[in-house]
Amino acid sequence: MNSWIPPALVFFLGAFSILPLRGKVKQGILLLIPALTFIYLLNLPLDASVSLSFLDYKLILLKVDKLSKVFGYIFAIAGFASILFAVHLRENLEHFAALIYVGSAIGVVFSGDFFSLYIFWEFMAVASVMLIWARREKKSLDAGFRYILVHMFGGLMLLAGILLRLRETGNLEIGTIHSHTLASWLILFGFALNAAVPPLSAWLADAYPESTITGGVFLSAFTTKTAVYVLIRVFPGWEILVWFGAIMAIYGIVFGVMENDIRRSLAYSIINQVGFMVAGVGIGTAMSLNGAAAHAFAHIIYKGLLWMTTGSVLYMTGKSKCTDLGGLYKMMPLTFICFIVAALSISSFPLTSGFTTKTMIIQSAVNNHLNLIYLLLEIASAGVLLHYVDLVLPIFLGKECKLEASDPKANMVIAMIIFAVLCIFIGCYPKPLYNILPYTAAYSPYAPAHVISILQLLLFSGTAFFVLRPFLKKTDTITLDTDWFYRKGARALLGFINHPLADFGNMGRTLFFDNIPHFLTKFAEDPQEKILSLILMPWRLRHIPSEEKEVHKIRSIPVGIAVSLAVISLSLFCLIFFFKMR
Amino acid sequence: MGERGKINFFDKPETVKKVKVASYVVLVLSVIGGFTFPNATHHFWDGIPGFYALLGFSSCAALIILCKLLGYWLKKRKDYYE
Repeated sequence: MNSWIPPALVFFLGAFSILPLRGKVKQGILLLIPALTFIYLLNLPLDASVSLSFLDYKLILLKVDKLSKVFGYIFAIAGFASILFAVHLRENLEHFAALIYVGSAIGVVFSGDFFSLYIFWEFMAVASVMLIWARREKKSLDAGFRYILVHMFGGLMLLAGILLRLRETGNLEIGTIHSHTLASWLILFGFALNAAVPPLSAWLADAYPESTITGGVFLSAFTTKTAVYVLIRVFPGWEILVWFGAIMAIYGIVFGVMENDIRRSLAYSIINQVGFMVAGVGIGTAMSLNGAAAHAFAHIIYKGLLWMTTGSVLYMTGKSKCTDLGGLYKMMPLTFICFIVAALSISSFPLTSGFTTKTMIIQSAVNNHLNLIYLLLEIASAGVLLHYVDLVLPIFLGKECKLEASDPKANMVIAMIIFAVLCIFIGCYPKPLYNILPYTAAYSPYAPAHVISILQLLLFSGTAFFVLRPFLKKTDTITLDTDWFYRKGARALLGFINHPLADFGNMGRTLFFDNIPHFLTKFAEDPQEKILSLILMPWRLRHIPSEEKEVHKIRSIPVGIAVSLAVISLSLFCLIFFFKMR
Repeated sequence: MGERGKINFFDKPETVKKVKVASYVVLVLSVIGGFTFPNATHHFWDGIPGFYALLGFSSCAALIILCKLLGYWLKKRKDYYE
């Protein structure tokens, strides 16, 4: 029975309904869409389903379980706060793209079959690139093109995997994949690309910082977390993910610290945090999968808050580079406080949301005796604090820059405060979040010894930062990543096509369409001369004494030979004629 | 908090000094806390007092040095791709 509707539909219909609207009515409807979706999800029973017949297949547009609900809730919450942050925008393009983007992400979460998932997946890619292009600068256009090309490639890999899987198993229903077939690897590739697993991650730090101020807030929440959701759903316990997750966690920190652009640095930080989740998926126990889901939940909030605060800095000052900023805490006090709350949360300080969720993944590594992974994740945790101390100093503290600024518009500040309060709420009282987690696994983060060891780790990491700070001077540079291969590689390929390849083509064209026909025409004009000149070429070359004689020789020799040839053939014809007549 | 250019609470040298002293006290307290509430020994290192302080300090230092070294190789002028 299809008595329910897919929650994505609320966003899709909403996206079209705002197009003719203006002013307060539009703002009201914009905020109503995620609010209604959230209430709808609260009331959605676990057995609700919507399916549709398409050719010979059954498309399942709505399938509900506890896992999809956790992600549905947080997507609706993040949608609400992000829309509130952007609600002052008069133009419809960004609102429309954002609503389709959030709707598609929710669509992926509630899809019951791979084909529906794929459709929403591609919708997400197209809608998200609009949030980058909406900035209307050349850099954004270029970065957007690279972004959409990479995502199309990932999407095609996913589609290839889905089609191969359909041929192997005969059905498209989404479930845990255990078999290590080509189809599985292709699907994993498609998911991993969206989760920004290195070396497939460069699109994220390339494109997100070039998005609009408000677009960045949306982008930080949905694409990578949808990928985390599908990884939990389809590939739990795949060991390769544990290792890639740990690498991501370290990689994100190292590249984030080297970066000068704040929003690019935050983009690397997404890779770092998604690394923890991917590792959690790879460990594959009830507690680690809960940890991955819970951490995605908390991460969407504090990372959204970080993009909001740095977006506010960009909005007010027009600058997003550490080297251009400084001392903003006096001018933007609320933004500063919200940034600190988010930075403490992402660093998993006790009493903030990161502490109650990330430690669940790290504890699962301990419980499963993955000692090396455990150490790598702890090192990355210490690194997160380093990363954010390294960001807060040049932006908000440090030497005062010569810029005028203040806290941004009221709607932006309220959105930041909502997220900041949620960060602290989940940190102090994680029970409601733990209650909605999909699997059964008891966990209590606030054991005194655990709190002390985390505090030691973080505080001494901070100490090392201050001791070694001279090494970390921010420079006005960019940092190369794996996008170098396609950015420089594409240029090299074009160079190759232009020069050796096109030159070779031109050579062939000249040879077959100019030189050979020209030669044949000339040859037909006087075949004897041509043949003889070819045969006698070596002799002629040897006997041409100087340039002066050349003209005479070349002209005179063939004439003499032609005459003698004519005489010979004439005699030949005479002979034949003579014998024939006999 | 005040406007730009004004000296406020956080700019005063005596506040900075107080913050520094407080930080040292917190650092020492966190290590002492480790003795009071020892970790459950999942690993051999859980028995070492102040292990996580050492791990935090050394991982941060190692990451900073790694960033510095990689920077020589990977940091380029901002018009590199243009």
